[in-house]
Amino acid sequence: MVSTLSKFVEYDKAAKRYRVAEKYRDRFPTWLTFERSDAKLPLSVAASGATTTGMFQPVHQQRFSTPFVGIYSTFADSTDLTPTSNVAVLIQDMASGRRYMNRAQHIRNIAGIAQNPFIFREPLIIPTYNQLKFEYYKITGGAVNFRHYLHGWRYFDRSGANDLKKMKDIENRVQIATPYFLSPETGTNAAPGAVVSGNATFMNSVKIGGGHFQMLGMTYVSTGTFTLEIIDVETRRTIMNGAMSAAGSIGTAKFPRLLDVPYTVPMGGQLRMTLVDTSGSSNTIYLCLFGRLIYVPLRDVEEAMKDTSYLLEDIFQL
Amino acid sequence: MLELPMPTLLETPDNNLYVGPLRSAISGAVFVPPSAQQPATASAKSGNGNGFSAPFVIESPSDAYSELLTLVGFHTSTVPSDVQNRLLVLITDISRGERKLMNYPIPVNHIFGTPQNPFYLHEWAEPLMLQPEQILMFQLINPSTAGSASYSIMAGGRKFQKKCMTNPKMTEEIKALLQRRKKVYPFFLTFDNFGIAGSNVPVVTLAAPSSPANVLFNAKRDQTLILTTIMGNSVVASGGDTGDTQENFAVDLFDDKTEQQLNNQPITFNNLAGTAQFPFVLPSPIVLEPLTAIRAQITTLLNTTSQDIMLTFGGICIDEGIEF
Repeated sequence: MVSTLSKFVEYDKAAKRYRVAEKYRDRFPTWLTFERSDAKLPLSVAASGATTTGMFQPVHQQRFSTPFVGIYSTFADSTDLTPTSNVAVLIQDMASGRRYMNRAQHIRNIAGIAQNPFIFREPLIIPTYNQLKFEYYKITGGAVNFRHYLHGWRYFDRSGANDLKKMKDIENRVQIATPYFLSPETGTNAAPGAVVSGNATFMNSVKIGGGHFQMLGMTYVSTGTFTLEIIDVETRRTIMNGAMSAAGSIGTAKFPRLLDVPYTVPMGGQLRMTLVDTSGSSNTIYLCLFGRLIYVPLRDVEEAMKDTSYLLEDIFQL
Repeated sequence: MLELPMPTLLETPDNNLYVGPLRSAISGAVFVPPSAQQPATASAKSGNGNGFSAPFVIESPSDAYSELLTLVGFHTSTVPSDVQNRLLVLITDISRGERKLMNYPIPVNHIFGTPQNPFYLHEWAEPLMLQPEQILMFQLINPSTAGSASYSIMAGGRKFQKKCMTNPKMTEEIKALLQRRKKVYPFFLTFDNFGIAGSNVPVVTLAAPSSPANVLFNAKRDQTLILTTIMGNSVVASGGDTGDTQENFAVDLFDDKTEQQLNNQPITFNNLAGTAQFPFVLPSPIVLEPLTAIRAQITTLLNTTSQDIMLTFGGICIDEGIEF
């Protein structure tokens, strides 16, 4: 019989009682955004301007601190309204210096709203005493007031079952893999879109550096229609067997297109993206391949990820 | 990942497709109130008196155990938007000593989704099990003066025919389900604040500009609550405000028992809550122990206009709350 039982409740046979499932007892959901003294919080991003700010691992009131495990990203833009917002963001881990993307990504490719958040398929973890740097760029239009939240959880030793090993596992995960966003390398962080003339073809090869890129899905924002083809240069393998229409095959941050099976490109490999405009007019395309960057040798990935794979259960059960 | 709320009907033990033996025992089902009770209507608020509908029910068939998995509702198209935004419902499980599935009446838009996007009890809360002929009672409360309410509901789920109790394995499973449902059931939690004088419904009214309002979401003595979703909405008195009319308000959340703040800066509406169609599914649930509370400090982001704010946590209640 198909089970419809909630995953949040378990039966304690010894006590003959129902209780909260163990892994949820010691967690608090957490909303994390940049530090601002203004209670109303908008971050002002000037027209054609850039603003840099940070998100810190939150202060904890127990004797030990706890990493922040982020699995959603949402934003709100009070001037442009969400559907037309035009801000790009570049995220960097300050402790390791690692960037979570090869260049600034359009905010509508990596953040949704509370009703349909963008879900990181690899948790975005901020270890103890760490912070992330966020650079926001206004791509087009006037100044906006801007909000960006990461949603996840922290740990709290409420049931007494928590231990430092769990904290260590999580912090180790950051050394093994982080979320990663990849887009064609063209333009600048302030103008990261690929500008394609009417009916023209744009081709760009992106080299994978710093780790192995495991692609889990795709999102896009564009000013017109286009088709897409991606080729793994090293293996000469096409990821799709023909050019595909973006509107019919790639999603948005709220409803992304997830690959049925992840596609891994080893460090040093290249992905060649071919974008062909089908609108007949000049088309600015922000394409985003999202997934994770893996920092250990390929042969050790399975072993390295074993201890922390439980972090992913919550994400894929959503 | 949503589980398929239906048993497998086709089996291939000998490489031949045929309808499985469970077909006559378990089936998908849609549960609706009797046609005479739909749509339910509630008159407009008059003076200090809210409009109430007559109670209406979903009844489990006499020959089956019913498991409710999804909730769907819709307003009749002529109902004014103010009524649609404010209409509340109180749901009572008559079979369990009139156990209520909420602490106070909850906006219908926080509980009932649409046919395309129903509120998934089995995914975000806990399914509701009804024994044969047992009923779930609903009553609408209309706190709006703009007009009458007219609202229809339905629930999706599955039925276990009584005759499947002749199968020992099925009997065991259904008994276990019934046992669990005695103690574990879906629950909706709103705050203990009755902002509009005489309205007797939970709402925070914030004039603009005003001091923040502090409200509590309380768990009772005998409840452990697992809060998994947040739904909310704001009804603004009039347009033309120069403030943040997209976000309307921001919230700070605190766990009162542990003194943990759940956010580092106020959370604005579109980053906090959804509706029953698309609730904000918490990345990890809030566990609320008996006699503890979540405190919310709500700040308006409007400059000149007042607003009425409604917030609901959805989730699960474990009766006879257990402390850790």
